[in-house]
Amino acid sequence: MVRNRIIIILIAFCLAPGADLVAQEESSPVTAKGYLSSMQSAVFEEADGDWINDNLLHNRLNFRFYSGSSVTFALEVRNRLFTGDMVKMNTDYSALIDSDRGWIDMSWNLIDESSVIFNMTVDRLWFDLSGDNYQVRIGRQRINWGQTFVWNPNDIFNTYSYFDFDYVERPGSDAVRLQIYPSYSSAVELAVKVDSEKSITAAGLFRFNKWGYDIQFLGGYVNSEDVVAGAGWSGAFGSTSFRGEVSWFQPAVNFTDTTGTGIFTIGFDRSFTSNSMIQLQLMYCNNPVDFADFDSFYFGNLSAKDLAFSKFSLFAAATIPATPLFNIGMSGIYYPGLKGFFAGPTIDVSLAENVDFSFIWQYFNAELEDDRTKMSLGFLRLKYSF
Amino acid sequence: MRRIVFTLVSFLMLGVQTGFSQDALEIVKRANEKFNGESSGYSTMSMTIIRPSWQRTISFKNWTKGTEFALTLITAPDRDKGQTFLKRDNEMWIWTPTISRLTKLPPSMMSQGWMGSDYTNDDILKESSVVNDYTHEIIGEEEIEGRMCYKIRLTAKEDAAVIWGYQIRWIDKQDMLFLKSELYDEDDYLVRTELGSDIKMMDGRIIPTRIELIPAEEEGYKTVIVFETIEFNKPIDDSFFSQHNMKKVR
Repeated sequence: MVRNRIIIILIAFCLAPGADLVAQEESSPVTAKGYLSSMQSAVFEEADGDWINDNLLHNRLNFRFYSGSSVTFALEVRNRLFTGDMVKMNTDYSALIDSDRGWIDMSWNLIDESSVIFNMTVDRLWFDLSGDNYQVRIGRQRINWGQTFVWNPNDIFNTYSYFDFDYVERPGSDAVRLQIYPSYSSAVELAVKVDSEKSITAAGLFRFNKWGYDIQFLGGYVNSEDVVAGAGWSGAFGSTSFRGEVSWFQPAVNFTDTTGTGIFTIGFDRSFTSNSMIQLQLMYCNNPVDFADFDSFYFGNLSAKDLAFSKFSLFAAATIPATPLFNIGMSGIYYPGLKGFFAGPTIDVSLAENVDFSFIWQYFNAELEDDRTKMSLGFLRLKYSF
Repeated sequence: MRRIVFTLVSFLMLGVQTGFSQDALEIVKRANEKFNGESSGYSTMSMTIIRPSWQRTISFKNWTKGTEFALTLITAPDRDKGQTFLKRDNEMWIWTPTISRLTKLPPSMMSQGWMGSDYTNDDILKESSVVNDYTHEIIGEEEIEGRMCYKIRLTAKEDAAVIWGYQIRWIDKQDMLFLKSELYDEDDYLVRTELGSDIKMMDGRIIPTRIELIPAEEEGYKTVIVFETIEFNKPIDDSFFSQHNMKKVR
């Protein structure tokens, strides 16, 4: 009782009107949650050829420490135990797992043997001070400026690979970020990030709500390399969401006599009363990336300007709940410039309140360096959330 | 989902009126006035979908103000814990803390059910028409949950655009609570039964804190809503319903 009273007094002391509502429950000053999953994977070119089989035991722990409702500290840790053929065969695999693009290296291969790798990565570590209409966050955090779902040219702080479905949280940035909320549905943001190469990304964003749309404009300097200007929106035609993002990246050196990179994407999504959903997204880039191999294609890129591998890319997806506990999904991407496509059927089954089973298949068929490349990746995952 | 939650909150705010020898219309009318009478509130609740071979529960904290503003925080299951929904007028957003993503939802999302809940949107939209779209008749008195109830038949008017042919409602005589409802279609088939139980004092009012929705046609199907906390007429500033607060409430 005494402790609760002290907490209530602290909260009342610390904060702003409205804060008492947040604090009316005896919310714990520390929270912990996360998940544990085991995922079996197989990679092969032909089903009757050689398979590369691996297992990943993956544990995530998310901690929050609250002091009143104005101060929050977060620590999120990813622990992964890799075993299997890839660990044995690929000598670069350990370095790939260990790599940390952040300013501070917070990824450690605690075990690194010929048949097993255990990696621990801190991908969120931030301190947050939040007031009536502002928020300051310092540390490793995710700055998510995306409006669409698959390709996010506005998401200049954290790039990620769409195919890396097992990493829903996605990497963080070592950054300082200020958010100001002029009204209930608008925000002004300023953020600066430093990465492992000491490259700097500094940008500002203004988002507001008008005519039933969220609209945003952003501008800044990306990876000590490009000047960027962009815009994005989310709205709806009737019950169909209409979202889009556009960004232009212009090299800061030789600003006027170099061709920049422009990426334009629009998307539609709609969900139905049956809880099924469809998504469509189209991306155009005047200057798509030439890439060397399948790995760079799969694992993604270092900058939001390298999102496109083909002038046009078209994404479509549908998920249908066969029963409320059994979801069937299908997604596909068409890359006309690569004369190729990606296809990804998925099945998600809720086995118990906090246990999910997933089957994911990723199939790629494209012309890479004048060679027809076909690749299948299959995954079986059992995940327990807590 | 939001509307379901909100409407259920309203649905339960059927007041503390003692009355005797009231006519059927008057009883339903009073209940309906109460239904629309609340301006703001806070509640914690859970909804459990029960099927013959499985069940799943989702729990929320809700803050509402009028029909314009609502903020909902999911507190269970663990996988979805921390997600918040903000509704302001016709606009709605979802905050997903795991990926730090604010997503704007189309207005139609507000009228969708969750995991095949037995409570459908049509019911919600039509709920307030119980006074105008039906004729009312007391057809008896029965005891439900140890309480004497008026048994009232609501028959849909000829030209009324309602989905039920008629309803039988049992309204507690002392506290004017809906303790049981049977909803029949136009061919006189029972479609669903609703039961109110666990009558408790919540913030000074006596209400049923457990609502069961039982579809008639499907054996072993049920949706159970349980209110853990309700605070009526809690003053909440408009500014509480903001994108900033979506990220802070817990």
